[in-house]
Amino acid sequence: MSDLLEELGQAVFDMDEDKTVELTEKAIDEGLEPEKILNEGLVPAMDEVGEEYESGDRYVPEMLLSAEAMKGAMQLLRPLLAESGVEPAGIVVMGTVEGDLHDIGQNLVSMMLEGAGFEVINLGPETPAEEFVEAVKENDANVLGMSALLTTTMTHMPEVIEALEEEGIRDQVKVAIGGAPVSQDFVDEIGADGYAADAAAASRLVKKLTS
Amino acid sequence: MFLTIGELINSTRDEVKQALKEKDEELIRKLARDQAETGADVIDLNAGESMEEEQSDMDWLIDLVEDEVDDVRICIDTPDPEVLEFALEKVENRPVINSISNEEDKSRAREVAADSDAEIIGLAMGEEGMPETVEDRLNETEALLKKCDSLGIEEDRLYIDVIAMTIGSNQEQGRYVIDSVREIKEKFGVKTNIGLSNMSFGLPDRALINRTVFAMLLEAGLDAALIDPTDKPMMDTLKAAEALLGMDKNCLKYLKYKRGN
Repeated sequence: MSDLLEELGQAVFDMDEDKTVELTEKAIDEGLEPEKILNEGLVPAMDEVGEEYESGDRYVPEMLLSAEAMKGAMQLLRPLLAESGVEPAGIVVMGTVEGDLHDIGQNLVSMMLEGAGFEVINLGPETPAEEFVEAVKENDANVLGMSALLTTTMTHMPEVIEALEEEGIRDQVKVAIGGAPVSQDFVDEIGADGYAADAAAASRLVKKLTS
Repeated sequence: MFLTIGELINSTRDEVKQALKEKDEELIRKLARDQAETGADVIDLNAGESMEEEQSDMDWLIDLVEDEVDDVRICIDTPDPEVLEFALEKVENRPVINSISNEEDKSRAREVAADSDAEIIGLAMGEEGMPETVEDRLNETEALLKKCDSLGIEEDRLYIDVIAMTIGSNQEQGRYVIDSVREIKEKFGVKTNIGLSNMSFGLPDRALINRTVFAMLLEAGLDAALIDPTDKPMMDTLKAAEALLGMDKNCLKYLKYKRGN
């Protein structure tokens, strides 16, 4: 790996958005392929960020800062990636279910997934079932990710799965769920495809579901 | 008198989820007893995790907790108005309802609450979603007070919950909830409540953050909170703050507390 990409990854890891953007620009100017900048500079850094978070050495505000840095770099890279016809690792529709306003978790997951090279359509908090279904169809998504932080709102998850079935597209998309009250039991109960306990695990789960 | 609501018997917590599944009476009895002994005035019961079984689980919890703790007050923590009605009918002592709000799908819960004599936690939120600023919280409070008034719910039965949000993602939220408590009390003269632990999500040593903001909220005039009373430093903070804020005549409660420890 070139020194520049290593430095770029370090900037993401160090939560330095300005430096991340500057180094991304520099890498583009030096003629490095956008795909290489992503896969050899940014992705490994976000993997490390995720590992630190999972092991309890990194906390939410620090996750958010690294993700901001990543986002800054992606704004420069995304049009170039599209131009050069590079396909994303997969397309993921994300959202917190109807009636639930907690979006920190699903934002962290979205950032980790973008950091892993996925295209993420983040529908945000309080997403009704129809909106999930619509977004899956419109974007031809591979994975639907749902989050619920309340026992009162996790009940909307099976409704979304039913809505996918009614539209006849349940087979075309994997359903991953997350949030404090959600468990493997609940995955089995509602017929989802998997659950993850945190953002790093979510990134691994989506990789597994799309491989 | 500050109202301490013990938050530990909540089905989103793994040990409670497990206990509900296996009907582990001992664990529930212990949680009830520990919380009552460490200073909970009211014990929150949440059985919402298993949707189909919620009513029978709630039934089971109430029986156990009332049997274990003499004269216990229950805080009925349910999204389901039918479970709420059932529990209101069942409990021995005057309960607290957790919760109503301005949300449309809470209309039945508001009616059920109105028909009872329970104290009520009213969340300062509605169709607009979670409140962001102090102003949002004041607006939601005003709207909720109007709804309660038209249903005949007396204001002194209400605790307005100021909605704790995570400071890890928005560092203004500490200031917002503290100012909200102060302003809601000044403007509407109604009591306030908070479910504290959200505030420290994603940060190390959450207990430290929780008890620090707790002291600040008490100074602002907070009347009730859902907390873990078995967290000793948390209860230390409450007792010291009550003495400091003139809520403890001659510091006798503080002295008694320290002698008991």
